[in-house]
Amino acid sequence: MRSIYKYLLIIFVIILQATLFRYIAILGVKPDALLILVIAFSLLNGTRESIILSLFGGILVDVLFNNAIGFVTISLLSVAYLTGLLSKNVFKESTFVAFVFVFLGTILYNLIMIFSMLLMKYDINPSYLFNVIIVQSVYNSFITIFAYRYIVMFNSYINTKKFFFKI
Amino acid sequence: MPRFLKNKQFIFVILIAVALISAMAYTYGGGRNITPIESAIGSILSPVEKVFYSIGNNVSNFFSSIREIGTLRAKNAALEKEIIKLNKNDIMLQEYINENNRLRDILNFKDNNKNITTQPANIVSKNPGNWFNTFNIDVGSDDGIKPKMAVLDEKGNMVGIVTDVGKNWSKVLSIIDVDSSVSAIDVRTRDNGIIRGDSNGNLTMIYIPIDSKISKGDIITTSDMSMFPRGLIIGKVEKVEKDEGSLLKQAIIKPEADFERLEFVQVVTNMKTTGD
Repeated sequence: MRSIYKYLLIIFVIILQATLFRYIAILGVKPDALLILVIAFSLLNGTRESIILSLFGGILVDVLFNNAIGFVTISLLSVAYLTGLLSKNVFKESTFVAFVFVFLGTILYNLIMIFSMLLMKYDINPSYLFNVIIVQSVYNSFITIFAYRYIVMFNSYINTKKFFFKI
Repeated sequence: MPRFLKNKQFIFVILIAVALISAMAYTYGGGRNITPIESAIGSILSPVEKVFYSIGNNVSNFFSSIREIGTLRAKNAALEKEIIKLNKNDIMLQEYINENNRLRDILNFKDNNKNITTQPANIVSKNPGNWFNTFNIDVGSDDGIKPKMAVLDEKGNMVGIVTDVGKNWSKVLSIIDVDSSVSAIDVRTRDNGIIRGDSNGNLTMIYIPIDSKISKGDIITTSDMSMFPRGLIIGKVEKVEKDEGSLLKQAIIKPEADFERLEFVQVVTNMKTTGD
């Protein structure tokens, strides 16, 4: 049951992001803590975890905030699943690996979102688009450098003892 | 058979993706009363979000008031001058109002703006992503909120439109979102147009006729042609430009409402038509 902490952490991060994160925006761009968490956990625990966590976090965000449900979830799912697949071949505990994954993951995540927005006939301003993708990738991966160590510790704390059932 | 088709998990992911795309297609556009499950999620989380949101606002207000101390004296003097000027104007306006009332009685006009009833609401959270400008408020169908109602800030400036309504929370699409469009009119020149968000926090007014005399500083309000009450202030014209490739003008509008420091809003509850 200890893995309930993981889900509580995700809920907490989503709330923080919706309420307080607008004060730490750089050039009007907020970092995406949910994405960082999901990528980190997918990297550490593989594809199964990536599917469950991205569905949990993504649907929560979509239901709470988005116009079309599935918008964030589908981007999050793609990025997390890809990370989970690739994680077999890398040294998982390395901060540098996480840094690269988050950087590229953020770019892919935003590109998939833009693609969905294009399908829905949104008018997107190209300069703004570039701004968001670049600033957010740098910002996210910068945060990862400091946070990844603690995520690894948190993850091993959850995984140390096997309980009767794991969600 | 390709190798990846033997991977059950991969097929599972594809199925989820297809399900999500259908969900997107089904839910896109808003204007619906959301399902009990969604409503419950919002009901559980919005009190928590409200607390965090107000903490953030208090902290930022504290810091901005420290920053403003130095300029307060100058500001005060300017305001006092302003009051004297306004008092003069007020007397003049009173005359106009009397005259207007007489004329209105003659023409049997009805002043729409006086009949607006509103429901106050707190903002509890904003969209965590960077692409959209939506926020959630703490009133819902229990308080008589319906999709497509207009949302105003404390001073009565247009802020957005209710898109989805839960039991005691609703999603609001702000007018600065790229997906928003509001029918608008220039108060001075009576040019009609559509206001859309441009994702930079500004608004663009499109479909203005090429011969229009619209110019910088004009006030833009909602027009009577939309379902919104007319005369809600949207913003001021900042720049007018010719739309390339078409015989129309477009204008950059600076929104009147302060979207960064929005805390309380009011929802117009007696609209002409609202989606159910």
